[in-house]
Amino acid sequence: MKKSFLIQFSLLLLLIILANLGLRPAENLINDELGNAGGIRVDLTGEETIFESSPTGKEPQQGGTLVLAESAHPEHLNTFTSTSAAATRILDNIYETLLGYDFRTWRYDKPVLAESFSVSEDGYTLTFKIRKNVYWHDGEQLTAHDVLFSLKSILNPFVDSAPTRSSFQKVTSARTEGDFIFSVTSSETHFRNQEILGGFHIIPKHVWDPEGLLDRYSVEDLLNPSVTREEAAIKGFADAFNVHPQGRPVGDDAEPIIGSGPWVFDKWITGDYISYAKNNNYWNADETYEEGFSEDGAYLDKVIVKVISDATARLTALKAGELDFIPRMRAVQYFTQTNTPDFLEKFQKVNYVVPAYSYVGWNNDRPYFKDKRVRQAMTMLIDRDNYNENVAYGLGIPTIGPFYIYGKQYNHNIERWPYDPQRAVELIEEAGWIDHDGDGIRDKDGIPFNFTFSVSSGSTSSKYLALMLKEDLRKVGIVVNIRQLEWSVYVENLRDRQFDVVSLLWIGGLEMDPYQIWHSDNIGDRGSNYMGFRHAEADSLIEKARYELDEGKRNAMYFRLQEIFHEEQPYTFMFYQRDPGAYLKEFHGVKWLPIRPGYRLNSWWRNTASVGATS
Amino acid sequence: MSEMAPARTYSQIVGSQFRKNKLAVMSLHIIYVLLFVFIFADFLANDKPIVMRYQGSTYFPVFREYGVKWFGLNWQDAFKSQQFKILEKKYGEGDWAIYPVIPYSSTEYNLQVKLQPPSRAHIFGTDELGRDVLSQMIHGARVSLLVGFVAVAIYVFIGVILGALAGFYGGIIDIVIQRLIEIMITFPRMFLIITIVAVMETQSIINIMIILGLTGWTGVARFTRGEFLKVKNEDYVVAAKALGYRDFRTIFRHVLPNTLTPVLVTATFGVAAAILIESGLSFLGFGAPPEQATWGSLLSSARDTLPTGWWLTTFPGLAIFITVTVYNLVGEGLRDALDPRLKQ
Amino acid sequence: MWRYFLKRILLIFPTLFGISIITFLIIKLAPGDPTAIKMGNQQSGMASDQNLAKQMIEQTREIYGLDKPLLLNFVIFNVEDNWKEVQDYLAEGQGLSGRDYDDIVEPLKQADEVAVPFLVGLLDSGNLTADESTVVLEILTIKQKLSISAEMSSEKQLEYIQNWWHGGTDSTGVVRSAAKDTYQFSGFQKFKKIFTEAQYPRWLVNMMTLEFGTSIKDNRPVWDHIKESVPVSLIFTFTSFMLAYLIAIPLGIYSATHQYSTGDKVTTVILFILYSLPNFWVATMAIVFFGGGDFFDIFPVSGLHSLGASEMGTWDYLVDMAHHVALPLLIWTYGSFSALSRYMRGSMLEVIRQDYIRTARAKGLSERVVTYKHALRNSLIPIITMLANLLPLAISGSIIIESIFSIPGMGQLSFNAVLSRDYPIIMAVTTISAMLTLFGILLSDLLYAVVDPRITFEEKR
Repeated sequence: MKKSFLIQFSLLLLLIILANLGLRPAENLINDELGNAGGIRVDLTGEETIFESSPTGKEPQQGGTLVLAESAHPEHLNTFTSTSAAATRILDNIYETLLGYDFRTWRYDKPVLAESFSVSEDGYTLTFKIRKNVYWHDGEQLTAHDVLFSLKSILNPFVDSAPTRSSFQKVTSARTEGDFIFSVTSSETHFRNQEILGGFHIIPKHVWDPEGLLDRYSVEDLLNPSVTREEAAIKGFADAFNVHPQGRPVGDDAEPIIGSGPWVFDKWITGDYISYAKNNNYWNADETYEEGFSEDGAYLDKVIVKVISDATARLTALKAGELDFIPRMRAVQYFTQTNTPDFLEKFQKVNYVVPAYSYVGWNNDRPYFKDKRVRQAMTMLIDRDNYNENVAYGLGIPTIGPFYIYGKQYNHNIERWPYDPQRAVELIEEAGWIDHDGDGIRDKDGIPFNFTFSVSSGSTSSKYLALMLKEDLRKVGIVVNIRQLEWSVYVENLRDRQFDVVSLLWIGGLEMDPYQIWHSDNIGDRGSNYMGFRHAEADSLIEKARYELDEGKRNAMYFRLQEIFHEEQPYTFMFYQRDPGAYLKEFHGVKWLPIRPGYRLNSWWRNTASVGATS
Repeated sequence: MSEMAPARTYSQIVGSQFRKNKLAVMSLHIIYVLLFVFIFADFLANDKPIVMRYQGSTYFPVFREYGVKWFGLNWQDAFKSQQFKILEKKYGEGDWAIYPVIPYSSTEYNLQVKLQPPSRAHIFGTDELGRDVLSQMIHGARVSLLVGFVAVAIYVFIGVILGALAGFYGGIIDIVIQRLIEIMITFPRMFLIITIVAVMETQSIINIMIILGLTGWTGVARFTRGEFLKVKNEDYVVAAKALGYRDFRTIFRHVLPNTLTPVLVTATFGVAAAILIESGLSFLGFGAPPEQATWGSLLSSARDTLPTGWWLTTFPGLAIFITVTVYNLVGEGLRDALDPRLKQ
Repeated sequence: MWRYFLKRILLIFPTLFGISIITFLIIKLAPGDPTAIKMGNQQSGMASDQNLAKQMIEQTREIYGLDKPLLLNFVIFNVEDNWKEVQDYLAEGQGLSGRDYDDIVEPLKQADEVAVPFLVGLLDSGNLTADESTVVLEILTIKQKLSISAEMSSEKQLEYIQNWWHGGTDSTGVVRSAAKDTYQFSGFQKFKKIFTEAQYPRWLVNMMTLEFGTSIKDNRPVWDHIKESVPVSLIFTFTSFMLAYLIAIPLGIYSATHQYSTGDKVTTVILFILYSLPNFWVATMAIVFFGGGDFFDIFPVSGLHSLGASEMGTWDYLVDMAHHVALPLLIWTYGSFSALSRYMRGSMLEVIRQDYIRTARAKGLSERVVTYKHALRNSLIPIITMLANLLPLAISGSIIIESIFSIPGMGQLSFNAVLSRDYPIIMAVTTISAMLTLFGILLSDLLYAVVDPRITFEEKR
């Protein structure tokens, strides 16, 4: 009996070990010159701001389908009330804005739905002339009334769009003149006004508000609480707006979303996929904006966005031919699991930058981090290069400040703090943190240097960082406790400033206004200055710069601001992120941009001459 | 039972019955090994020497660590930074150190050797931070076993008592206990765990044990109750009642042993299940704190590295699998041995 | 016996009531806030720099009724006491932000309109400290949505309030009517507010009419979510249960009737081995091995259908679905074989040793008849207890397997709801599952009585 059990047992052990041995891929890492695991590293510095990763000399072909996978679906597709990046990635294809980025200058002044625009002399009013040849997907013409209606929907206080609305707080009035002139006035001449006031999605009034409930109210009315409180129709509209079927066209027989963009909405099967198809009647079909960058709609017939929540399953599905494109995969997958000759022959691997940076935030109001010397020391105690190379597989781009590394605001003259534990310890001791009581832990005024590093439970990279820091700081007499929190609790603690140290990503854009995160006004209940950064000079720079319309002067102020950040180290700025992805080599016209999400499917086309893996 | 004065005591009978089951006995030996690892984890895998000679005096750093942790002692000045391996470079004449078999702690990282397959230096390989997998498993054994034992001890205790009371007395007691069971069962357990993990200031494995214990008893209670319902009309119970035995005695001396059979099976499965649940919680990100290695957390964090990092999933997976299996086999052996009908 | 069951059915209601109150309190008292999910992307730990100032958060909370007291609204009667507490708090010189501050001001905000006359009265009286009037202004601004901005000087703010309350011409020259007339409440109106202006009573009333509300996360009716997810989970639960029973019960019987044989031992060990493999590990291995990565391409690894499934014929559609379901179903099921067949074996062994079985054997009945007619019936009792779990399981799904295989079932729905604190969904799922569980327990007791005539439910004499 004992024997038979032993035999069974050891047989099974053997089986499992053998099975697992089989898991080693036949080929180990292919080390190409770039050290990049056979992929392309997109670098947008210098003159080249658009990078094409699979160039062919050939004319783009029409037709074909692209299947890509995301980790989660948007909560819904109501453009003003949704907050997820997943929703934006889909809706940006279906809706359009008045203005857009000029891909050559990267200014937000390319006319899209607007034919032209002008800024009033005092700078407070923007006037847009709307194109007369734009039609909604259902054939109706797009007019200035749709634009005004869209803005009113955002401003309606009962619409669940608080995060979107917060950018529009300074709007004071807006009106139409005839059917094709739209003007909007705000109470300040912010340098990003064009991007905000010309950058919201325009939704069709005749679909969302066929009865014209909002017609009776002006923008001023909607901004006036005594009106919105009294008028039931305003709330009535909002209640209907929040649950409008256009925002959640789920199922086979749902009404499609009506937009004006180069893609038309096709279908949303919950938990399975969302698809959109080429708009064959796109208004801009004759016009090409930039060579190869097709503004005249798309080449592909259809895009299917599948949701596969598990990273392993996602990669497996790509390998199995169920997918054509994974925009984001895990670093470890990119570097160790996609290196077989088979894979490299079939797929093109790319890693590209997205405007989001990671940081370690020190709560500046905690006794440990009050002194900037301690914060500098903390930065010097984090072995960022080692972390980047080994944990992040070199995907991070070291940054010294919050501005986009490819943008014009970034100050390239500042040298990063080095990794220098010795100097760090000196600084900490200078600041008075010495082990007075001999228990091996530094202390000052009776407070032991013992802080908590909060980690969001989904984030492996910040978990690893916290573990490393705990081990390293223990050696210099500082105790780190790691606390893993769910995202909703994590964010709540962040908002209430109930934390010592956090590790997070900020998503930004090409240009940003540091007011929200760095001005001392925004400490506490009113903004996102969670670390409690207070600095008189920084405050005045931030205030001045946001109304400075001269780019050179403005950026000079931001350069100075970054010097202050560097000196003060309210955060330890870690890295701008590269997202590693892979797509089937049949696709061409694949271009990478310095704006989110880093690619635009408009320019992609499929070379149907080679046999496709997907249906 | 004592009045009848049998030739051998009950436990002797159970013992001899149990010993007949070779499979269970062998599993028990494996559990002894696990217990050994459980107790002596710090002496098996540690980055501190067990004994060392340094500048003319002898030190016992592993013991000292307990002193620091529990008795408010401080590290000697020479060891403040606890970097014994770096200290080695300063060794003079006559200095030496004896390290544990696995000279790595579970948290010590070294990015230069990350994701290394098993080798002589790292018998079970290293993880994404270059931590020694075997060391993590040895320390993880503590957590995993503790979770199993404590959680099940709590819930079997609660469950048997409540179930017995409900089944034996019936009536209003039964109704109240039944409602309690119902409320407990219908509670979203995962939510309770997540909530409590979030509420607690410090994330700790003890919370998880208590939560698993407090939420897990319903099965045992319902089982015990069901068995009591079945048994209470049987001859020997009716006889005991007729003899005028007090309720307490009837329950615990006569009925309980007869109903323990399925409960014991449940309990052994329960220890195993608790280990599995802990690993599932780790997978969802609600398990032990990150610095605390558990088999489950090792396994779940290694998912991403498949298929390359096979050693990262294989060994912790095997550890869970072996432990769970031997617990179940011992439970089976016990079940057979304890069976009251084998006594004659 | 029927009286007993009638009583049991009636007892379901107080239990349900208790469960719903406890669940409600636990989920509401848990840290985390549904408005938090509007702050960023959990998956990547990203937060966007949108301004989620307090006012914006309050607005969102109000839209979903989260600004009201939890159980009953009594704060409207305690406005003055609550104000005193705020004064005490401020007198201690603590700051005007943070969690403590929020907690202390909360009751006054919850009192909403009822507190307004009192608060304006405070401002009118003119003997408030600077901090106190800041607090009053903040409460009024947020709750009554006044367009006061922090950049206005305090005199301007006071002037605004005056204009608003008593009517008059404001700075822009617009004539306003006095707001004070709309803030008069009779005793009855206040009494009504105890119930109508509180979260739990609102929920309960909606519940009674089977109106579960809409999800906070996406504004869809909760019922739609459940209707979508339940069938998916039902497919798995029922198939998996059938599979488990079909395989495990015969195995258990075999093990019991052939106790200590090699076959018994082999099945024991194999079942234990299956049981002890953590399912997320097996699932990952299965995906890597059989999903068509670097090894075998046997099963699809995500979702329930292929992309073109809606255009397929019924047969192809079913085959396609079976193909998708097979792998997750196997992993869903394999662990339960062991427990089930162990139970079956255990209770069968026990029954076989009973006197009446011996009697049956002694009577000369064939082993077959003894085993399957007499022993089996009684040994099924513990298995029946497990059947009661089936109902609630149908709506609980499996979080781990559903998330690994991207299956949009109840497990994912409720887990995501918990993570994003989507209260309406959590409440609906727990309530429905509570009902099903209670019903399941009742059913299993009923079956008990049917299977084992010795069981009675008479009151103890």
